[in-house]
Amino acid sequence: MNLLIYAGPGPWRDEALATATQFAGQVATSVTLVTGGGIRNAELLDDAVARLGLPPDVAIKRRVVEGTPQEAIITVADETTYDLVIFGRFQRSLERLLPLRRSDALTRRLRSAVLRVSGPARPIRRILLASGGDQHTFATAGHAVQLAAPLGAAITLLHVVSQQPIVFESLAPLAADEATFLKGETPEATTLRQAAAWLSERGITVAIRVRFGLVLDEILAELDEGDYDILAVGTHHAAGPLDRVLLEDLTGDLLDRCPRTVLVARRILRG
Amino acid sequence: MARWVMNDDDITGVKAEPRAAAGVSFHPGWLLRAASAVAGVLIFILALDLLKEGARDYGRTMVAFFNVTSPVSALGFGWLLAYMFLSGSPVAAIAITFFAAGTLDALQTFTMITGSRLGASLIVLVVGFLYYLRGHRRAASVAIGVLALLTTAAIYLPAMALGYWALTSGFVQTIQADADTPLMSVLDWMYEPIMNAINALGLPGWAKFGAGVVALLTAFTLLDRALPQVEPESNAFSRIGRVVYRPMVMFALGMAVTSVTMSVSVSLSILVPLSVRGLVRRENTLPYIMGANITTFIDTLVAALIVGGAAAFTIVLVEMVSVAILSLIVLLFFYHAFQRSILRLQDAIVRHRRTLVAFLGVMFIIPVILLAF
Repeated sequence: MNLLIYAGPGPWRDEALATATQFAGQVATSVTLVTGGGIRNAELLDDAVARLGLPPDVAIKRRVVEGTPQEAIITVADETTYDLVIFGRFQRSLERLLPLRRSDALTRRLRSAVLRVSGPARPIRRILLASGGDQHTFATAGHAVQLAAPLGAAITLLHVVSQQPIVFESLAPLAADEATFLKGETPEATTLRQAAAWLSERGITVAIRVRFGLVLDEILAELDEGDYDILAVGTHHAAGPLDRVLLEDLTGDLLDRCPRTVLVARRILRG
Repeated sequence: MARWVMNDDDITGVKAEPRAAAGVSFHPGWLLRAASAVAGVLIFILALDLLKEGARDYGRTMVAFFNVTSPVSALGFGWLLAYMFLSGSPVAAIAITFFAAGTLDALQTFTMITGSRLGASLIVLVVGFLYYLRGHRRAASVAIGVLALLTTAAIYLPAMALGYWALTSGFVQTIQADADTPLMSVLDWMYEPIMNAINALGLPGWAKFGAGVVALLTAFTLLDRALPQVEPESNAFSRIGRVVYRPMVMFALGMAVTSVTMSVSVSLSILVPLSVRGLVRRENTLPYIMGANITTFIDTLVAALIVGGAAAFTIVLVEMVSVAILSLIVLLFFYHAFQRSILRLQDAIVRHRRTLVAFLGVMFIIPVILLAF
């Protein structure tokens, strides 16, 4: 994997480096370390190299860029294709209360998958993969497995049923409980079963959870109750300008509200 | 093809048909729908005139019988009448004609209109359930009915306080206008000979009032028939069961659809053909109902303009603006907490039959209690 890691100053810098250290040595073929703020922060990159403890065969690049951390990451990310961009949360606690300071602005701008680190660093043992029950689940699973496989982490596929029938007898009656839903023939249940099988084939320990309620609330509740280490989600699927106006950006909302590290999958992986 | 033949708050008769052309179709039935629309409007105006005449003679007796002496009892009166008519719009129109006839004062009219909306939202649930029992499998679900009622109550009750303040504090001045001077127009010229002919028959007030009610319900049925058909495929909201739309988008959609249908329940029924599987995401329904709850007043606004004049128009406008302000405050500042609370309450009510029955019982008792004040 070609990794881009932000190692400059930031509120969650230590946690971001500690998280990356867990898997970078096993999965990376090359690592680019970047900082904003100009040359005065260059020594932070040397510190990061020391902390990451990368094997000698991993190519390491250091990039010092003027400007904010976000500008630095975007500048370097635009130069080549990275498999994963890793950075700590830049929002401070009070800034999250401001409605216009969305923490997904940087994630949305990047073309690569993103690991946005937040909260105390913890060993990656359990990954919660939030699935909409569609084919995008496989893209998210593809990214999650790249972290889970080398670390021996388990993945739980979570689907939240938030639909309710408009009429007494809907065309596709809803299953009222988890077991019935998973046994059903709905496209969502089928996708979940297929994704679980796909992950199992890759040696990952998989579980499936189905919850009923509001998507955002149920994902965060499961994350908390299950004590997961990482939340893996797909990117916001706005197909065009109209979609950007009409559709709620649930990935952005999760990035705003999730207290733990979030993996945002970017695109369908080939092969 | 989806077809709507129903009263204002009757969601029955909805048939979801997933395969059809995109957008709004204008097949040869458009002529029939246009005729229904014209006839509906003409009968609506005649109904208002009949109700006003009837209310002048019979309204005081009716109001005295139900002991409507205060804004609170008027709230209960409007609420109960909405149950009786299985719809809210005719009751709001009756409130306007009572005001125009001098039977109710401005505040009583205001609260009676609020009551009509509260009653109408329960009708989404009750009528849907009754029709479901009678074999109409596409009647409104219990969950949506409860959600409509909870959302309406949560917004309308504080909005009523805001409107009450606006009407009593002098903030809204036009309320002092004479209620017996409705806007003069070509309509008076059209309907005066008809009303003169009816008056010449020497019918008692209650007969004119009853005829007005029948005409009003007929008018709403005709207007429902005139609605264009909404087809499910290839429109911007065809994924309503799968993706989450922005609350403000669903709010605007609810307002836009209801400004045509003029009924919250008919607007809800339009979601059925939009959602191929007959399911809609919880996140999408609540702001849609909030938006629908504002523009559902449009027919009442028109009725006020026709029979009640500027003063009646102001009362309805205050109601509409109060609901809009409250809705926007909730949407902009407290939406997630509001949504969570309403949906949890909805889940708690519909989870068991006994809680649902208890909820329905309370909803029937409350307006009766209000009548006593």
